[in-house]
Amino acid sequence: MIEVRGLTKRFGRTTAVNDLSFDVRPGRVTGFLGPNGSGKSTSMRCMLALDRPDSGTAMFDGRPYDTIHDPLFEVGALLDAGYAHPGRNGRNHLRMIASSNGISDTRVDEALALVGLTDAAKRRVGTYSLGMRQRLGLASVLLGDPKVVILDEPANGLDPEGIRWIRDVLVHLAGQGKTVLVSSHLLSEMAQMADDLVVIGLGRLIDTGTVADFVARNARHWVRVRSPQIAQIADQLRSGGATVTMLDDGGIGLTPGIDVIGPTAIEIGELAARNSAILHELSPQQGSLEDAFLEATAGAQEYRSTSPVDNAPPAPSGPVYATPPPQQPPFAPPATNLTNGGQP
Amino acid sequence: MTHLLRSEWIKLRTVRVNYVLGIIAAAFPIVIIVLVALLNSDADSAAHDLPGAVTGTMLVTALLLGVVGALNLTSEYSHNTIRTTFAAVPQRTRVLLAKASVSLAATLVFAALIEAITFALGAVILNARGGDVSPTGTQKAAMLGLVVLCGMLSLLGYGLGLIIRNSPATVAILILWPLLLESIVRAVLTAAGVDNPTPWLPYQSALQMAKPDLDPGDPSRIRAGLFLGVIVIVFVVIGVFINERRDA
Repeated sequence: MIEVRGLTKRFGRTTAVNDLSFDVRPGRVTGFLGPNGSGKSTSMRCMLALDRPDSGTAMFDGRPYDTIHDPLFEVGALLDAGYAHPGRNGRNHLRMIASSNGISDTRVDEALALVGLTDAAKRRVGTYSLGMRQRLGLASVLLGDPKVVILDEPANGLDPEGIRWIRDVLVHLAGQGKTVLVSSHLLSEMAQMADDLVVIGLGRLIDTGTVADFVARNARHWVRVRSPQIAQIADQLRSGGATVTMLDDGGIGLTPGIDVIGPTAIEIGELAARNSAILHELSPQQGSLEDAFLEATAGAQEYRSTSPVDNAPPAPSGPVYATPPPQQPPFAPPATNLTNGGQP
Repeated sequence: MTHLLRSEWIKLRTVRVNYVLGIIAAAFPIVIIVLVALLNSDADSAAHDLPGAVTGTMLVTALLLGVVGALNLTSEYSHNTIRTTFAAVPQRTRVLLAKASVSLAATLVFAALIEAITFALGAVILNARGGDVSPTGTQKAAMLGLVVLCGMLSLLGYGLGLIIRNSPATVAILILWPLLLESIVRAVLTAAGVDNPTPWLPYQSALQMAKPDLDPGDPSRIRAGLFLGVIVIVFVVIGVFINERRDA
């Protein structure tokens, strides 16, 4: 169990982490998300007593990190795969870490085998690819078979097989009851492996909870409708205040359809029934974790690029959206409006 | 503490640059002394001066061992392995003292070994050429003092590294200290009317430890050693204090 309370870290006039509080529970993979410069790495360094926080605490099973004796048995951390001397070989890199906590060379060799680096163990780290360094870093995490695992961007530089491997490892570790905190920019990966999320922006906590709750709270929701009488349904929905976007047929002759923001699928189904309209599709849709993340952190991005859409040529007219356009206003009319608008 | 010492020992002997510097530090006095022993036309005189020649040429060794001591610490910062180190053992003072201990012990053993080898080679050659190598008590004291000086310079480099945390800057200051800084201070003190400024210059003063024949007015070996020793300890203590509070 990790308990972070009121963590604040300033660099000069810049507040990198601002009164951050969250819990990381055992037996679950907790994703640590935030835009670039949001303070994720600084937070992790503060938690591990590498950076000295201006205020606040981080407790590992009730103890600050710098009071833990031989912490490799308690907490395994990989903050940056580059934290290795390029002139030292991989095995010696692990030996120097392991020996400081009284871990044997035999366990070093086991860890190297676990991450698939046995054949490269005698090569200098400077010759390793980024993916190999990530594996070496993960081997150092696994040395003491710790109860808590903290990883900062562990999938950086890994190929698809490596990314899947690290996901499986983390899920396996959580399955053993370990506490796993992992930051990553690969939101699709995070969606697959994380149970809980801690989302920060500009050093502040934005949201925390389960992935499902976070997506439900922050991602856009809409209903996809396909019907031979789609024009009639669309008109009635618009008159009820719904935001309606026409869909194309995908070039494969699909029934004409719309995406609707506002009313629920039940409400739309009842409206169609009252109008004796045939429905070929009526499905609630929900944005991805990526959508939810971008929505949640929209106001908390330190570095933000101009949207390429802003500089792109104008979109062709007509029903081309497969999903709702990103700038649509949220729908908030009462359901009775739709019901009234649907009256014959 | 045993685990920490082992870890630091692994670090020290698994980086190539330490071997390169060690080979240079060993080769320089050995080559010079062998050449002197072979080529000096007066074998008797060379035999008598052999301890002084050994300690004199090994001043380069001492400086290089100071560089190793500095790099032992600063390379951890330049490669960010200090974060790996402090994450594995968050009690920083213990880590830094273990690192200093290993660095000092390795330096003392290495310096004593190289000095013994250099002296033995010179003695074998000169004795074969008819000389008589039999060091006096003060010469033996100077040879012991040289080993201690190597240890102090190693710790000086380490202490400077703790404070500066940057390899080029630390090495530059370590080398410029005796070559430039103390020369400037000596000139200033002389201009100010100080007859013998050596006792006021920590490095120059500490050289007395490795000098077989002390000049009148020079500080004693022990006093000279204590002067530099206190400065080294102050640097190390300040460095440890700073590193306890700084971000890694």
